[in-house]
Amino acid sequence: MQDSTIQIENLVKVYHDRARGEVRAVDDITFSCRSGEIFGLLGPNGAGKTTTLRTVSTVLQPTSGTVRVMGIDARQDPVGVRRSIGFYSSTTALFPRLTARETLRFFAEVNGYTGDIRQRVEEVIHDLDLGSYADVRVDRLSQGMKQKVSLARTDIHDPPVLILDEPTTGLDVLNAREIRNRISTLRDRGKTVLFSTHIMAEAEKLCDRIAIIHEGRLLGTGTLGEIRERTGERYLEDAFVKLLLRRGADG
Amino acid sequence: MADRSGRLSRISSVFLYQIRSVLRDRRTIFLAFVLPLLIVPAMILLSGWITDVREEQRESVEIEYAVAGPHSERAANMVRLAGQHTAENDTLTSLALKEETPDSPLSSLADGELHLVVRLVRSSKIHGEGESGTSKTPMLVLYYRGDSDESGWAMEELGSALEGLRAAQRRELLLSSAAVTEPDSFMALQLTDLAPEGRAAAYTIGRLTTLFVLFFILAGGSVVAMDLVAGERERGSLETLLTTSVTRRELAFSKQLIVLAIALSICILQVLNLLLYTSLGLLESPLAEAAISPARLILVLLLLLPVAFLASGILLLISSRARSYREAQILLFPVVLLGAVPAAAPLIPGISLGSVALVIPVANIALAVRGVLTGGVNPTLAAVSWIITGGAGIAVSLWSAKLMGSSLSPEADVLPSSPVQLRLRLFSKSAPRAFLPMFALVLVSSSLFSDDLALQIIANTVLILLGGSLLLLRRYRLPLRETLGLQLPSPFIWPFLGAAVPAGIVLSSHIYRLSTALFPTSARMMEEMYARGIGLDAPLWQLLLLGAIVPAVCEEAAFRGVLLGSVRRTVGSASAIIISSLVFGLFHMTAVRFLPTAFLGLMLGLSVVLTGSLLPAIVWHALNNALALMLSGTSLDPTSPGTLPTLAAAATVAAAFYVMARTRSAPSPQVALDKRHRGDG
Repeated sequence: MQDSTIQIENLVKVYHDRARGEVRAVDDITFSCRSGEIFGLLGPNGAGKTTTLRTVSTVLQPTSGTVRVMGIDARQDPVGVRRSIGFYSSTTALFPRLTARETLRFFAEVNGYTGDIRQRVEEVIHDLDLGSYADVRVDRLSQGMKQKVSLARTDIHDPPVLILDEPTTGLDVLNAREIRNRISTLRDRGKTVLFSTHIMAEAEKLCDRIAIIHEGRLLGTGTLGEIRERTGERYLEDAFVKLLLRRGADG
Repeated sequence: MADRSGRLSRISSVFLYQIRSVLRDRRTIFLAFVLPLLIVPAMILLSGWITDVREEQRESVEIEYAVAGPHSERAANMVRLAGQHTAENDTLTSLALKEETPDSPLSSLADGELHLVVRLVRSSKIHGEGESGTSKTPMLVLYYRGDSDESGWAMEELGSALEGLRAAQRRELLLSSAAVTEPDSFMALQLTDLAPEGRAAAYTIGRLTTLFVLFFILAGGSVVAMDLVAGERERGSLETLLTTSVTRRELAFSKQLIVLAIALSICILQVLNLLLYTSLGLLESPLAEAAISPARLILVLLLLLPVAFLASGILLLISSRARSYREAQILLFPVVLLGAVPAAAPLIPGISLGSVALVIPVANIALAVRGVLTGGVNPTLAAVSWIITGGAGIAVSLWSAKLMGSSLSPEADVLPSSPVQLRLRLFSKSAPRAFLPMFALVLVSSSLFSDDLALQIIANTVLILLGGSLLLLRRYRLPLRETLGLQLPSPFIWPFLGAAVPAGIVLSSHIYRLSTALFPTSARMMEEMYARGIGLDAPLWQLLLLGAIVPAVCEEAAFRGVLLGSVRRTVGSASAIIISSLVFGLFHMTAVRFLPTAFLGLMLGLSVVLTGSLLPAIVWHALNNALALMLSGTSLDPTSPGTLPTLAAAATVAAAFYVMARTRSAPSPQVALDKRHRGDG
């Protein structure tokens, strides 16, 4: 498929835990995302969302299966993949003693942004309304501001693909709303946003297509409309439970 | 490559932004820069103050003493006379004496109520036996307590006063009786230190500089290094970096540059500090007499560069290995202690650069630094030290690059899926470590059986090396044949190997010459060694068995079978060949044999990696030893082959390796075992 920006085929990630033994965190998952869409990975905590996203971002190596981003195989050219993505997760922190502006400049340089870095940084600061805080050290910013700077950092080198792992966790309503607006804007600019959440309402509101994931397995993929149609449920939450029960009955 | 400039700019970005971040941490600035700068003058001031205070206390002490024994009246008189003598003589400070009369003087001294007890005895044996007239010489015995400062001072003061009194009395006696001339015209004594002025101080500084600088680098650099990987891993910013276009190697390299920059600044600051106190004499101290020239200090700084590099690499390695900041700090302590050991080499009496110390990183630099500050150093040896310590620094930094990303992912905890794989993995972790106790045992047995070469060979090779290897295999229940790689290689290699043996000896004779140039004093020792070896005076078969076959089998099993095989799984073939060769060289104990042995190890290691079998190495090793034994018995001297024979020899060895590589049938021993058991269990 020419227009797929992210292609994941039969992805399996197994790791061995001393306490639990062999854990199949991701178990044979296949999906693909297109440019200009927000693709939501929806599932409860521990479903395998973060492991999937970390594998796509090459932080983890898949046990088997393939991951391709912009046509680049993650196993063969992890640096090539990282060049075309921006990755955010709750475990990716900023440098506390750099200011917001320095942080953005640093990540633009390190990711090899080819345009005018100064101009790009000012643009993003303006877009996210960071102006008055741009020269404050990150460790003196509020949680909401930090998350905004993090999101800006993810996108600073203007990558075609953004991978965001629960970007609104821990935020109040207003800050979460601002982050969601920013994600929509990025989609409108033609980027692919692969995004995970355990909040049904957020997925409903934001995502063009949704994959429901539970215990490392994919329960269903499609637009909100398609999932509604398939389950006969109006709300995503009910659809999720129905899919889960159906899977239980099958197994 | 087009990416090269990108790589440089990524490294410089990480370096610049991270160092900015580091320098904004006040804690780091204080611990790394301010504290060390304060410590040196503080130490000088403190030691001066302590000396002053002690001197003052010493002068103000009133010596409380008691006399004891049968001649107590006379003893008391002598003490009083000594006191008067000091009062009359201005070269001595006058003594403040106070006589006490306790019931039991010695027990009062023991209880701390007295400083001294003086007892006069008449000794019959003070001077040499047979001297007449001395048999009734009175002797004053001073009892004091070594565990009390004041009692010790009292002993010294009264002792020297009594000495002065004795000299004065003797002089008077001489003048009044037989002496025709003034007694002083007979002989005067003056002690003169011939060492150039300040040399003693320079010697002290020279011995301690590396240790001090290393200590400050480790102390200051550790704050930065622990934060840069372990701290960032804990905070999450390391993962952020790992999801950017920066590769792990670039990241490790730039982080090491940061630690190195900090370490070097500390280094320069300390050397400047030294300059300030020694050249400008800002503070009064005996060390200030050293007057070390700035040119020498710059040389010292250059010599210390690889130490700073290695130290920063080690700090980063600890930081990369630890899963948390806390764990890094726990790991740090033993490393700082261990790191101090080689840097203290110049304190060991009699040690010089032309010994095995040359191959020990840091120790060699410490010795070179001492040389520079106290006189001279052989430039070749200093350069070799520089390269060895710098090389160790590079190896450590590559290692930490590997570790940096690993503990981020759960893969660090992945358990292998079969028991054999698990045991192989544990084996490859612990086998290299087992060579440390083996080395200690070989050291002990070599000194234990230094008279009996045959016994020494059997103890070292059969018992320690082969025994140790077999114990390891048994401990991890690994099959002998497959783990060591005892399968037959292609028959085609044997004739080529046969030709490679003498060719290898020709090549290693050059290494031997280089080695004797580096260790000139050891040539005589080498001759002695050979003489002893031949002096075995044993039949030929025994000579070949003990000198060639037994060492070949046992050493190959240990160094190529166990060590190379296990290290290879963690660091790759090339590094494993080098590491196993260096260890092989070290096990031969003498400095002059280190390089030639390591070179033989390189060839043998390569043969194992190329053929996938240990057998060619065993045969090569045995033939090599046998040939060397025979050559040393004849007058044929292989030490200086010409260019043409050398080229021919190199071509022969290369041809042998080529054939080995082309005819290879079996995969590497432990790799094959690992693959075969993957997935079962």
